[in-house]
Amino acid sequence: MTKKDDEVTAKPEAPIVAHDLLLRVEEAEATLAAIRAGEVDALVVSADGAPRVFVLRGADHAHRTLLETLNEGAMTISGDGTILFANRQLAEMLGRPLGKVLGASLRECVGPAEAGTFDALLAAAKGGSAKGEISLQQASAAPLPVMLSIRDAGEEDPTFTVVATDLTPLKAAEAALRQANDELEARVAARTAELVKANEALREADRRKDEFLSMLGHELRNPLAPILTAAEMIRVATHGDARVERFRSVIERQARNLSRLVDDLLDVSRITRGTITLQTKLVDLGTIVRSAVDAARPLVDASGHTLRVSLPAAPVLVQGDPTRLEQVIVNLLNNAAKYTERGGEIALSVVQDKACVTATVKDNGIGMPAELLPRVFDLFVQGERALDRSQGGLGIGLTLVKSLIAMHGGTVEARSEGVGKGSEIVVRLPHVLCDAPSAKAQAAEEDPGSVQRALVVEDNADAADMLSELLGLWGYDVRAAQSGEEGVSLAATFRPHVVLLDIGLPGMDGFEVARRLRATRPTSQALLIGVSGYGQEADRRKAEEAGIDHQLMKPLDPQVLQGLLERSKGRRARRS
Amino acid sequence: MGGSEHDDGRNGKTPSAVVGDVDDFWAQALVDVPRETYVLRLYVVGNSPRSRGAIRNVRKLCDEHLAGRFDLEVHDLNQEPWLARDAQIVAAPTLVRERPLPVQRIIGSLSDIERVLVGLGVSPNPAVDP
Amino acid sequence: MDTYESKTPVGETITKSTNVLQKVPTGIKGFDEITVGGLPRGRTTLVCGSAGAGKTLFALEFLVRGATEHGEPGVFIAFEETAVELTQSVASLGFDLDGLVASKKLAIDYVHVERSEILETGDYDLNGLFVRLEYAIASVGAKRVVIDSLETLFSALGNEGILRSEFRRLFRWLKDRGVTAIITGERGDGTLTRHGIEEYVSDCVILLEQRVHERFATRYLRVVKYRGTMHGTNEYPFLIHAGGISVVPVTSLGLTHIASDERMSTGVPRLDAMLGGKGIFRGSSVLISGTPGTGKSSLAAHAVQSACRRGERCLYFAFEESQGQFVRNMRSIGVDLKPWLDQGRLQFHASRPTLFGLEMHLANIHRLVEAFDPSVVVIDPVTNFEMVATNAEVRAMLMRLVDFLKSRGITAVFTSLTAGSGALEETDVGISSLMDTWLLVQFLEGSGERNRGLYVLKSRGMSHSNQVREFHLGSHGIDLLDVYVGPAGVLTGSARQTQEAKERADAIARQQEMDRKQRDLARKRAQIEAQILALRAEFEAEEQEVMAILEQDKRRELVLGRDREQMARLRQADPNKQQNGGGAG
Repeated sequence: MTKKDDEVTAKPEAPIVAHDLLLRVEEAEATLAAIRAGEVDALVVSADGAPRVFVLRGADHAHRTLLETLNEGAMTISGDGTILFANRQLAEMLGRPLGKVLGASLRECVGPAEAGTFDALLAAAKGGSAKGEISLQQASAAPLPVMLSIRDAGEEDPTFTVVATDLTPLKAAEAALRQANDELEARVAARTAELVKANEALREADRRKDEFLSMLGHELRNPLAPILTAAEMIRVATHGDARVERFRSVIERQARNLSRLVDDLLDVSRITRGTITLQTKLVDLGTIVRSAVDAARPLVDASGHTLRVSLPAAPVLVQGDPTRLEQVIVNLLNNAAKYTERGGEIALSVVQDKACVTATVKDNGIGMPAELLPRVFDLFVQGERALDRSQGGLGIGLTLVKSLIAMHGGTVEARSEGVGKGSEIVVRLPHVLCDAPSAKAQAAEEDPGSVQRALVVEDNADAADMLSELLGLWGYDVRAAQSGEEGVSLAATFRPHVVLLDIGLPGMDGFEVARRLRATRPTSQALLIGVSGYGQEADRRKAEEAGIDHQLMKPLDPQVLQGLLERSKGRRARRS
Repeated sequence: MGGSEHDDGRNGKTPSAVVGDVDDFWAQALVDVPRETYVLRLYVVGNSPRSRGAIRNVRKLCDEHLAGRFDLEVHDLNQEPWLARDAQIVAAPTLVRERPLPVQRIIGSLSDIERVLVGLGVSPNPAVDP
Repeated sequence: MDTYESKTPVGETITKSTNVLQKVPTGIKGFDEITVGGLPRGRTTLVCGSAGAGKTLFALEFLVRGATEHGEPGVFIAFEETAVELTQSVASLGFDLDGLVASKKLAIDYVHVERSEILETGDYDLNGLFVRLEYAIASVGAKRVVIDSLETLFSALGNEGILRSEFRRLFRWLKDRGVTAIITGERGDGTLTRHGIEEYVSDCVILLEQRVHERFATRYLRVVKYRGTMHGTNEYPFLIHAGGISVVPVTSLGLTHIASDERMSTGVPRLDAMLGGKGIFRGSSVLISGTPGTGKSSLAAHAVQSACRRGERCLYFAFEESQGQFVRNMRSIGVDLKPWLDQGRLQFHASRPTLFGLEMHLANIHRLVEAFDPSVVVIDPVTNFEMVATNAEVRAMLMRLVDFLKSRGITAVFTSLTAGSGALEETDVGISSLMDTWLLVQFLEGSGERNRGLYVLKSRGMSHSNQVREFHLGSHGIDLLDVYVGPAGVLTGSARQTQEAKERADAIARQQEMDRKQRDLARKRAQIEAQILALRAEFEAEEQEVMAILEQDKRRELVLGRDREQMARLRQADPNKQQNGGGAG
């Protein structure tokens, strides 16, 4: 309202109205000021004649009760840590009378060592909030671990709201937990130690068992070599005396049988230990099959079975360990022979297609019940024996087959129509396609007429003699050396084509000899055959590194040796 | 809260000095009297800006002008309502000087430190810029 | 922020009126009657008055009665007195404050604010007081609170602005707490309280006053403000006596007394005969006017004797004579009152009217009547009260007394001394309107002798003789004789005089009656007019509503009609058929 209006209207009540309005404005301003100053406890709002009371006191009272009920120490502090407001719980936590809490400095209430931590917390809370563990010092000087949660109240004078949570129970719980944990860990450690000990004992027992099996194998095998050699020599010496030949062949056959069983046993021991490794190379499966047939022939013949072998005309190349693959085929043939009644028929066929090479051994023997099929490759699982119990094995043949084939990346499958309906074992190996004849195949023919020289390095005089005799029988010019050094010097002059080298020589061992032989011109291209007493895989690797071409195990199988020599003769012939 | 260590200079005075120089004794006594411990009780109600201001102010005053010779307690009457009656508190905040006698009460947020010092009968610490 | 409605209980809000104020009986005698229930429950009442007006006692009795009779513990915040002072000053009233405090029915907090030891710097509030109040309330579960006297703080603390806003807060706080509170305040110069705290109290303000008339102090109580309730604006005298405070109300119920049909003898057979033959109505009031020595007291004594003989109790208040004097005088006319006094049927209270103030007399009469429960009360003479009060005051007091006695069915006999001239005093005329029966005793002079004559000037509710009887006082009591008409006709003049007096009195009474009727009429008219206004407003509102409804209906019809047409068009209906078909579509 302007002054003019005032004058113009000039109603007698106008000044009164104006005064009234002024008063109302003043009252409103006073009310606002009071609200700002925090002096208002309640607002009474009259709406539609019904006064509603908005009471701040109620809310304040509720908050106060809440604060006093808290199990935490709650306070308001100034920027320098002076406690401006606190609940009773804080006084209790500090162990101080109520009157000595307000006005005190929280900074003085933390342990002297913690003042820095406190300052840092307060600084961190500025404009926001911070949280940290700190140790309060109680009036009794006892430390009280607390979690301080600080929040900037955002007021003109720096003010912080602080909540202190007593961590004593937590710490106690933590300690208890830690102790329980420690105890548990101790028990676990003790138990683990026990287990380790038990495990070690088990492993030791296992190792001893393997050792035992290994030793047993060697101990059983060692006498076999001279037996077989002797049998061979009888054959050569008797010159077709039918009666002698019959007895001799029994000796030879049974000795070979025994030898094979022992080998299997040793292999199984190796497989269970996982120590078997393959000496893979590119090989012709046909050659292997023929060799295996030769090896199995005596048993097949003795059982009066007919064996038909069907091979592709071309070489069937696979990447594999020839010895092992031969072992596989021999096992399958022996198995077929064993589980077929006398006069049965066994068929071995090798088929190759693009992907794989399949070798199948089929018989018309006793077959297998369907429930046996899934387990037939498990260790020590055997089918119902054939009548000839003497042919019984240890139940490890098919297990070996499966393991070896798996190591070659192949598969084995057993099939049978049922009991009495024959069995069929199918072996599949990855086929290696060879586009051109390998470089090795181009080896020049060696003069077939020339006499081959063979050097036997063996400290065992009996073994050396037998070997020398045998090689002599096969037409080799044989020399023998009793030690590595002797062998090396002899080789320099003798210039052998073939060296049979005992690895376990005293003094300079077979590997060293091989390295030296390879290093000298006359024997750099010689066929080095290592003869190992233990036949361990590590030795094979060492042998390879030393330049040994083949590694054979004692007792030497004369037929295997002969095959090896035949093949290398051919190879050398091609090479030269 | 420190402060309660009562630095009573007279105890340290040797009897010979008292006997020896009477003038000096009175002069010293005059110096000693104001050095009596100040027993101060501040009563506030709740966590209001007014309460907080009074606590800040009284704390500052004690630290700056009464260092080493005060015994301060601050009570929130919400927590100890019986004290309001016992100490005859009507207004809040109220600062009561219980010692030295006579009892003196200062009410308000104690914002004017100089006035409060006068009220308490404390001579300002010259080292502190007022 | 909490919000809640005002503290009226749920049951109350259901009733038609939303503003029903609950009341708390104070227990103070008479006060609860004049306020129709007591103080407003849950609100703060201001009791103000000058020093010594009885504020503290009033407030204390409110607490004591609350604690002892109404199961409401209380809190007393004493700003002015110490515990010793307070306990002592109320001990004479029979209040055992210490006992109440010990049994947790009362909490007393003495607030001492020593101006000299206080210095103010900066902002403050009265939260310390709030805390004390809260603590005291909590300590006894108080429902009643007295703060006596808040204004002391004005002299103790300097900042009036703060105090005012804090008081405002305090009053709201009290209301919020739901306690029924009394705040006392000292009467200011031309204001109810010195510092105007009445502005914070909107519900109830009570003013206590003490006025001195001719050296005698009388206390008065007045309800200045009582929101939402009916209260008389009268001043009510009150007493502070051994049992506490007594407020003596002018009982407005007085007009509703049940009038008794029972008659009782005046003790003078001939007078009974003049009064329709049966005497006066029981519970009625009788005024005996007369000049000195005409035998007013004797007439009253007859009535007393007659009542005592019937076995009733009588209470005789004498303001001129002592008991011994009176008994002796009456015996001389053959009325022996001693046996009745001895038997306790008659109580005689003689006092000088100038001994107390008017109200003290009245209160005394009240107390004694209540204590003795008589059927007849004599006040002899009422005119002596004029020595301590104005006519109007005396009249007011008598009105209340008559009212009080009537309400108890007590027959009242008042004597009135008129001046010697024989003309009736204004006083008498004023008083007589309160009376049911008015007797006049006068000396009739003639034939050389001076005889007493008795007139029945009025007697409501009966046909009475309007003849004069000669009134003879002998040693056997009163005899009424037929009037001797002398030849000089002296009596005619006297009779005329009397007749004139009677007519004048009647005229005044009539005038008063007319005034009263006119006031009644005016009030009735105002009421009727208000009713008419309300009815008219109601009618108009209804009319408007009806019009609105009609209008709405009309519009709806219109719209409906349009819709129908439109629908019909859409359906390509036959217009005639549509018309005939009505709303079937």
